[in-house]
Amino acid sequence: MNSRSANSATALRRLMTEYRQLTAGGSPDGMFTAGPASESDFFIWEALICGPKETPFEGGVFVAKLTFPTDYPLSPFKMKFEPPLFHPNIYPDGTVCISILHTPGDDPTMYEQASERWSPVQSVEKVILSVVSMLAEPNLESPANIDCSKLYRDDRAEYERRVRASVKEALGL
Amino acid sequence: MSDPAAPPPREITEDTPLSSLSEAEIAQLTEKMLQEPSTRTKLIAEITSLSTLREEYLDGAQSVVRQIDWLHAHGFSKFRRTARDGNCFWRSVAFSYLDRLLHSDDIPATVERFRSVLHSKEAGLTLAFNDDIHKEFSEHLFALMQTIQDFGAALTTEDLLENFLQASDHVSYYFRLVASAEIRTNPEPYRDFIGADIVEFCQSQVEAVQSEADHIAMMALCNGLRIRLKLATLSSHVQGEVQESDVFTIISPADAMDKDLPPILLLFRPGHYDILLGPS
Repeated sequence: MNSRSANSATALRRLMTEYRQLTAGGSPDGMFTAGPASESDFFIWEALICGPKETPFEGGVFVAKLTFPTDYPLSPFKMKFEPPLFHPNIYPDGTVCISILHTPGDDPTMYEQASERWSPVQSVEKVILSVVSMLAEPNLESPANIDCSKLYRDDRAEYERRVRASVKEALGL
Repeated sequence: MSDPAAPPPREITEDTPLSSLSEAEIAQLTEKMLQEPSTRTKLIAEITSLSTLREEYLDGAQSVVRQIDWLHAHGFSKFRRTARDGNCFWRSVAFSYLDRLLHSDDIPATVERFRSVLHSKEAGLTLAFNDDIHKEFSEHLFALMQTIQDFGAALTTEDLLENFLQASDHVSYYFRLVASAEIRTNPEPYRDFIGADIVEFCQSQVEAVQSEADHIAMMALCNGLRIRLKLATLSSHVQGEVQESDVFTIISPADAMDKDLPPILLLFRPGHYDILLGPS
């Protein structure tokens, strides 16, 4: 369909602009990098994210896959940690659950009404920065991993121990 | 072997009572509707007589029927249905904004005038959203305006609609940005109505795709584009004989630049906007 190709041309242009800006400016404190995973498909990106300091994720480097729809930025992209991270707002399969990646019409839990939602003026950079602060401060109102949320609430020390152990394991230590 | 605990999937038809639908069935229907290509092309439907709408209300609110009759008697006898996807207001205004150009006496001059107002908004948009992000969306609008200027009256409204629907998501989103920038850069007239944080309001109520337009967003859009909007509201609360003031609300900025054209006409029912056609 014509409208589809018009959409994806706009999407491709936006993705190229964002990629250029990220490569030129870099991220604040070099906290992450992001770009297309291969030259053949601009709609699948890979991000490398450093675990924020003074959190149990410190020292880790995490890989996430970003999948963009053909009507990006009208619709948000999806973000999935591969391998999955143990975190209250990350589904056991690694998919990130955060309000900034949801549109207002897409709110099954209705917990997110007041929080920041996806809009086409958002960007990969803004979303990843939100995800970094989410790693530091989980949002227990919309849990994606119930067991992890319970552990975070009831036994913070054990939660932190498990996260640190998984970070070490991932680094092959 | 079927699981005796799970109810068998049933066929849902037009006769299935809505109240009997389970949440799973509603989710399934929504999914199906979104995937059907025909619903995408009917973002704005063909012109229909208002009497089809009247029939829908015959068993319902009689005051709505009386207001439809009033509209009909005053020459507002046709409308176009629009999709209920949260963008109905923005898409309806965007299409009417362009369609009016086609019906102006001097098409090239009118397009030029509208274009210069849009250009005057660029500084505010850049200020509100950093960078030129708005241009990704406005270029689709400018392209359509160029088509109107190039083809003039040779372009029919239906041709325009076909072209518009290929870019309507982007054009409507550009109008959201115009409204939002208007509120962000000139918040005084809106502040008392918003109450909350201005930027937060703009982000969640105007810029977020699918958020419904409220009166503040409408005022901001009209002020930003310097256009007049006439809204016919079908309300179930009108008592007795229908007066013009019961039906119409007019938003008319002091510096409106479209006074030589009929105002943009929308038909509002709670939660939804359609395009209303006036006496021709």
